[in-house]
Amino acid sequence: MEFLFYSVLAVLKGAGVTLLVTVCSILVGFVLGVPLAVLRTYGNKFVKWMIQLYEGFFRGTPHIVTLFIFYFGLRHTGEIFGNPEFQIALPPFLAAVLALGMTSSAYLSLIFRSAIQSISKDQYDAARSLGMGKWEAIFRIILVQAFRLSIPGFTNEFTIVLKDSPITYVVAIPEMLTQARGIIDSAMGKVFFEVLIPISALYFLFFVVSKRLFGLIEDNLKIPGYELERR
Amino acid sequence: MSYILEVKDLVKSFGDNTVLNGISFSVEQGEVVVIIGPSGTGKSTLLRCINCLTPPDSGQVWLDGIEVTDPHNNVNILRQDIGFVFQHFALFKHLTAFQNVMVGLLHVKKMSKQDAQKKAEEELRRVGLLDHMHKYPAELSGGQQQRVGIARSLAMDPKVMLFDEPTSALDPELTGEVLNVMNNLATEGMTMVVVSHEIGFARSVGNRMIFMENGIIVEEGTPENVLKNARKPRTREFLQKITELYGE
Repeated sequence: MEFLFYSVLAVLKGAGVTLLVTVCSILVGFVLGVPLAVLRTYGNKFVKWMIQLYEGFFRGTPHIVTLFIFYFGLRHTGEIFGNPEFQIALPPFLAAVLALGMTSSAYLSLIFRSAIQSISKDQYDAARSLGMGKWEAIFRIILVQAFRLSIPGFTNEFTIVLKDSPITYVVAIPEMLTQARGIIDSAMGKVFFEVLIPISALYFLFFVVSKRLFGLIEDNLKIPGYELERR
Repeated sequence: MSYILEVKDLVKSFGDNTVLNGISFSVEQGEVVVIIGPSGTGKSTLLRCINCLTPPDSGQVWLDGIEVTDPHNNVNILRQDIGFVFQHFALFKHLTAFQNVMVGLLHVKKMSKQDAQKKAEEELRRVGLLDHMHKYPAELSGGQQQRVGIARSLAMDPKVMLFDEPTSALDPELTGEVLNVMNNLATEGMTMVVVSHEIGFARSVGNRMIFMENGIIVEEGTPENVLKNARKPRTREFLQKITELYGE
């Protein structure tokens, strides 16, 4: 019983870090994903091609490999340039957030882009006909509507990042799984109820709460008569 | 007599398809010009070329002595003087009727919030929708949406209003309320270029009618004249058909 108490305490400590990693990563994803989506839709050929490359890299590489590149790889950038002195040593937390966040930005870019493309062209034309510039029309009229439509996709991406966050275990971020792993070694067989069930329950709780939270946001931003009812 | 709007030799192609093949016409201050013609003959493209929503391949558009098509002129400023009413209304779906009318005043004309609100209310009253000002587009009927669309353009105090088939997406019951608003505008002296098959409207308020086919102007004159004395048999046939359809 005492062990259960300590294990849950450790897992709870990790839970805070899990949330921090998740929220920071999705913020990075959002901040990068929006311009990626906009430029992928409205940019010139070269810009579009560059973004495709970016998206391809982050979507095509396992997240854990991306994380290794950010954490270990960048430390050895000197090898490439033949100058071992040159290295980019990211602290584990930053490497983790950048790896998860940039991966997420590639997916969010797709989510936002499909929402942007679903806004009918005449919304843009109408804005231009009033005298708005190209970018003002995009930001003030198109993106505002696209954001609303992309909330379900964004919610999904948030829960995916939440469940991807345990891979930061490999760079020793003290999040839930790392904490759990630490206890498992001293658990002497008491693994299921004392460790795995609590962390599973917490992940599930976070999932449910975030889904509910974004659902509320979506309801609040609903345009009367426009979008379908959320069920 | 100087013209408020002059279109000179506009040409526009999409790939191999030449949609406008040298269109020239002029509109006097306060004139109502109705453009008709079979579908696919470039009427909508012509309107879109006038405010450069679709940039023409060649030719010029002059608005009140300034060339709209000149790339050195800031088209965003010139467009404020050209109201555009869309076939499918194109109201901003995330904004209420009131906000739709205000958005251009606040962010393009940079009016103060107070002035913009006053102006928007004024314009919505003008199209008879003050009671519905806080509704979103999806909560309004087609006819009401189109009237908001007209109010949104009017609010910018344009020198000329372009209407791209403003009633063709509406069922006959709702057409009337939009035509009424347009009638009033014409009476108040607004310069209007209207692409429409509403023969009754053309007859009652149109000063001039232009019949377009295959990217050129085939007939031009007073509505009565064009409708009665079209020179080409093809034109006569078409006019007879839409007169039957859209009546007096």
